[in-house]
Amino acid sequence: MPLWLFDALLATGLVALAWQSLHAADLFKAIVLFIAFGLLMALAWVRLDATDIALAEAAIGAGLTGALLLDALGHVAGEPKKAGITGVDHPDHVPEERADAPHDDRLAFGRPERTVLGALVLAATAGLGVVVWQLPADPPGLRDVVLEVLDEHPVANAATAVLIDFRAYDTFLEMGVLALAAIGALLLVARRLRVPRAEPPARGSVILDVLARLLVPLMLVVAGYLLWAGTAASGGAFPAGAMLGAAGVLLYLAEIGRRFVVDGPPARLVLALGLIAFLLAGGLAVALGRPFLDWGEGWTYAAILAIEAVLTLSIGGTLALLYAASAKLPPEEDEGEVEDLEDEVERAASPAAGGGR
Amino acid sequence: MSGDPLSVVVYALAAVALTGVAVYGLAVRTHLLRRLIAINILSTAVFLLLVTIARRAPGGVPDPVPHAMVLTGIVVAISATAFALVLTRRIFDVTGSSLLTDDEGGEGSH
Amino acid sequence: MILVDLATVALLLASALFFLAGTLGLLRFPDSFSRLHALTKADNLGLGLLIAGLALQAESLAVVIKLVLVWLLAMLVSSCSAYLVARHALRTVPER
Repeated sequence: MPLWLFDALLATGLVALAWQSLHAADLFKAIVLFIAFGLLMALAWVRLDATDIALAEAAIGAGLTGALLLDALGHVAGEPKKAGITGVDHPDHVPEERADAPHDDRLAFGRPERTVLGALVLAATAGLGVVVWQLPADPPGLRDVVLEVLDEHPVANAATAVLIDFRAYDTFLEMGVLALAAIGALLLVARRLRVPRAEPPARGSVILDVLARLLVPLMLVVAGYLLWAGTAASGGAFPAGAMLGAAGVLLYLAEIGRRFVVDGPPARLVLALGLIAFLLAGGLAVALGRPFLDWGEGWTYAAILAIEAVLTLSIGGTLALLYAASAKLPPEEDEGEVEDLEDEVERAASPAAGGGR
Repeated sequence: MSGDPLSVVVYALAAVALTGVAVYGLAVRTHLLRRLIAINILSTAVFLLLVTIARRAPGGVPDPVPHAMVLTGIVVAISATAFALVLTRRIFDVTGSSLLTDDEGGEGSH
Repeated sequence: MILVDLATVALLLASALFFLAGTLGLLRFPDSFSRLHALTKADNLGLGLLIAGLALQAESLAVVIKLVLVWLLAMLVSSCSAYLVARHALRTVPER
């Protein structure tokens, strides 16, 4: 049985899942199919010898993205009227039920436009297919250059070496992107979190609690292993960080981590940790007379491992924070507890309050 | 593992097909969540294409530079998706709808 | 050695059959509870057979132990998530 047959089946499954997740009628089903798509993608990565990517895709692409999407679905699938109860809107604008606000998941165009659009996309895709087919079988790449340098490099895993050593600048800026996304998310929801959260109602389940307590230590160990093994075999900071983030999300769901205030100094420190690590290490290199982010001889292994460890913490913390910051607050908590910025401003400005909080 | 050039071609064609599916879905569906799914599928298709090109380097060992780029890309994709989801929730809170249509949305725009 | 290979093939085929049965149940059963029933039971047994077939091919005891750990973890998580799904279905589906 030739192996390409398996690959062909896998590829067909991928395309079919992608189509279904975009066109299935029920949104919940669509998201679940998307998660399945992510898992099959992990298999495809393994078949293409990209094991680090497979680990990262399974944890981040399938797991965390799916969890985020499902959470958002829970939020937007409710009736629009509920939006007024949570008190997060501008006080004198309550969104009344708009008669023309579409609530069902529609298609943007009618049948004839869609056919034309489909034909256009099909033609473009066929063109792309022709281009891909004609790609040279011997692509000029940086592989030989990298492998040559890799021989004397203390790190054996090529992807890790490329990420943290040869192209450390890219990873540095990527930490910036991650932090920016989290800051943006926090900016949009921070109003809800100004009041420290009361003890959440016990809507969680004992089973989830026990599962979290059993699994999280295991996940921490696996994350540590992935980090350590990343220098020699598959692994590295990103899969390890993803595992940490998943552990954080599990803690959050099991309501063990709900007592953490999401927008406090420790959270902000976690967000900035990745950038700080790179800046410190790069600055240290400059102080020692080398170019920015250039690890010196003898220092490379230690520098890479140290940076990877900090990156793991930062990535894991930021991912968990992204989930917690965008997760839906249960309605019972909101009533009477959340204050709007406007209320605070009014109170602070009102002379009767004496200007103090 | 899969040094078989036919396998690699299969995945490259799958990447092209996924691109088409994602672009069509992005153009035609109006629900914001589905659009985010389409964007994610599009990113995955591009990553797949990058890695298949990397795999084709002769000698059996794949090119590690595209691998690193794809790893970076996955993290960037989830950052963008998470932020976009928060935006989606706020759009829903403010306008009461989670669809993005061409109808004039004068009410919801500030 | 050929006997071991034959045993592995037999176990893998049996496991594939169980997974197929579980998926069929998922597709054809009418409501959440019966689907959960088919899925978790058949898939757990399928996974166990799969691990057994792979363990026969393992090179060392360490690999066998890792495989068994994978199996235990998968069983733990799948049973917990089945419970959670059933609990949610019980709360949201009106009593019949």
